[in-house]
Amino acid sequence: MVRTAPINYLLTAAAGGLLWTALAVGLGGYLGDVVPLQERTTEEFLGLYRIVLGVVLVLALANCFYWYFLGSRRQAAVNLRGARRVWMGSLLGQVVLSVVALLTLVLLLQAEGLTLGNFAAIFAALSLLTYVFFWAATLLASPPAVEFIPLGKR
Amino acid sequence: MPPRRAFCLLASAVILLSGCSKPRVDSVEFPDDASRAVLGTIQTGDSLRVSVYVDGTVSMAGFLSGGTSHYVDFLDDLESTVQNSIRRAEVRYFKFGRTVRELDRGGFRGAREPAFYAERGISEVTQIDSVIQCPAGAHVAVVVTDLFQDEGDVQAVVGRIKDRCFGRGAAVGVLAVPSQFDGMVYDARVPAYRYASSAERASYRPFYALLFGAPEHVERLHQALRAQPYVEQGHFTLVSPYVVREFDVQLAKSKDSRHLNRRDEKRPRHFRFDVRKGGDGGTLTADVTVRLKPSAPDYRPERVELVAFRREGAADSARTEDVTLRSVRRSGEVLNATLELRAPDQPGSYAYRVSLVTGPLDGFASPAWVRTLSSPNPTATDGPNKTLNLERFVSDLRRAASSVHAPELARWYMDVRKL
Repeated sequence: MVRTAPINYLLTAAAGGLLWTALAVGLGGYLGDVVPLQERTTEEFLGLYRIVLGVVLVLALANCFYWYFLGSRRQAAVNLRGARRVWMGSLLGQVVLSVVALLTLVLLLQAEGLTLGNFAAIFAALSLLTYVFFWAATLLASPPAVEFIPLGKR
Repeated sequence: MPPRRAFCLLASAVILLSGCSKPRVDSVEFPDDASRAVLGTIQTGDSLRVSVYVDGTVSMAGFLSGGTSHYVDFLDDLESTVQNSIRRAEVRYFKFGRTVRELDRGGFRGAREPAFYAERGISEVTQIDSVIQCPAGAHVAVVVTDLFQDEGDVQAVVGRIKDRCFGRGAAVGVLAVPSQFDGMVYDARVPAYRYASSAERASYRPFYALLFGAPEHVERLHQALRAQPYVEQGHFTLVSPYVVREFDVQLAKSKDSRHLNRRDEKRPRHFRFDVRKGGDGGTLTADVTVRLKPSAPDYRPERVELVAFRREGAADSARTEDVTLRSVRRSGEVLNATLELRAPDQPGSYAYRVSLVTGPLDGFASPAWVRTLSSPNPTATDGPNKTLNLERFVSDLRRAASSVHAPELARWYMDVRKL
């Protein structure tokens, strides 16, 4: 049932929202207390961080929904090789998205003095919201025709 | 893992993670009284009582100058000026010298005649300290005199004013009105000499109206008196606990303070900072714009001091050295100050009230007009129309007022979280 529309869409969105909340509020609260800031206020930094997290989550959700849509069509069951290419491409796209988001934050915060450790924590959050989330969501909620395509599913 | 179980696990992890963020400690704040503390009371109401004390000693007779002088004009216009400017004004008149006596209106009009200044029992000695009083409420005492005093007199008068006025939060206005003069100048360090002014304004000899009362009422009365053309704006100085007309504060941290983070301001003049773990504070830069009241003397920036109080929890506030002034530089109306913040070792939330105050001893410069009209030793040939020890009197007044309550130039608040 979880793999059928609209349950898989709704559950994926809910999971994404929960994850964003945990990372934006939980990890955000920690980062707000530890990052050194020269120009911006703590609230400005957290606002930027949460917005970037929100943008990558929206893109990751869009990617998941596209996969579910594709997987629910008859052509997917007939052309599994093509479907696998789409999934791998999406996964790699999410990896690129996480790196681009990180670089964006690095550029916007270059005057602030954040440490490597700070950016590593941010990248961990971006990773969880992009390729890790995409992988986990598609692993658990892909339509039946393509449920065995995500890596790790047997 | 079944998707449903995975989802439940994720939800639990989210709730746990979110709950792990540190609970915000309730911030403790000072009540915002910056406007009242720095600017004083603005509103005054529409009524005012004015008690006018006219110096009836022989030294004042010269100001009559044959009946046409600014002194005579001042006396003639005083009541009408007050009545026209203040909706409900009540004026009473007194004559003083050795003693004090109340006058009716007819008696007050006698001040335009030479005989007024020859009354036995009054005209011999100017005991100005007998009329020094700072009445409470909407009431101003105006003492019209030539203010000629030796060092002993200055000390005694200033001491009396400090006790009766500054100690109650009152103010003193010193209004100088250059006037035509033709008569004898007494009480100088030399024998009495004759002096007569010419048509040149620079030759006029000033008489003074000392205004005593609550700062807002003294200023209000001065505003009313300014309506007269012979009362010049630039010849008035206000010795008051409040010298600022408006102020603004911008506070930022210096770039090298890596353990100090700024947080958003919630309200004007309320600044918030976090001191991160491993640090104890940092350097702050304050740009303070101070616009003085037109009648206040200018302050000396090198004498400006910083006073800080700290509050934590529900406890009362206490003076603290957590915030100190490292340097201050003035550029026109702007004071650029560098401050050091050293938060306590214990993590927690701390509220600070920070004030920039004028130096209690020598915080103000003498107004230029005071220096121009003053002389340590006027004689018939050297500064005959100047006032003996005027500068000493005004500076001693200002020092006495500041010793009771040093005027503040600015006040702001800081909330600091030590993490």
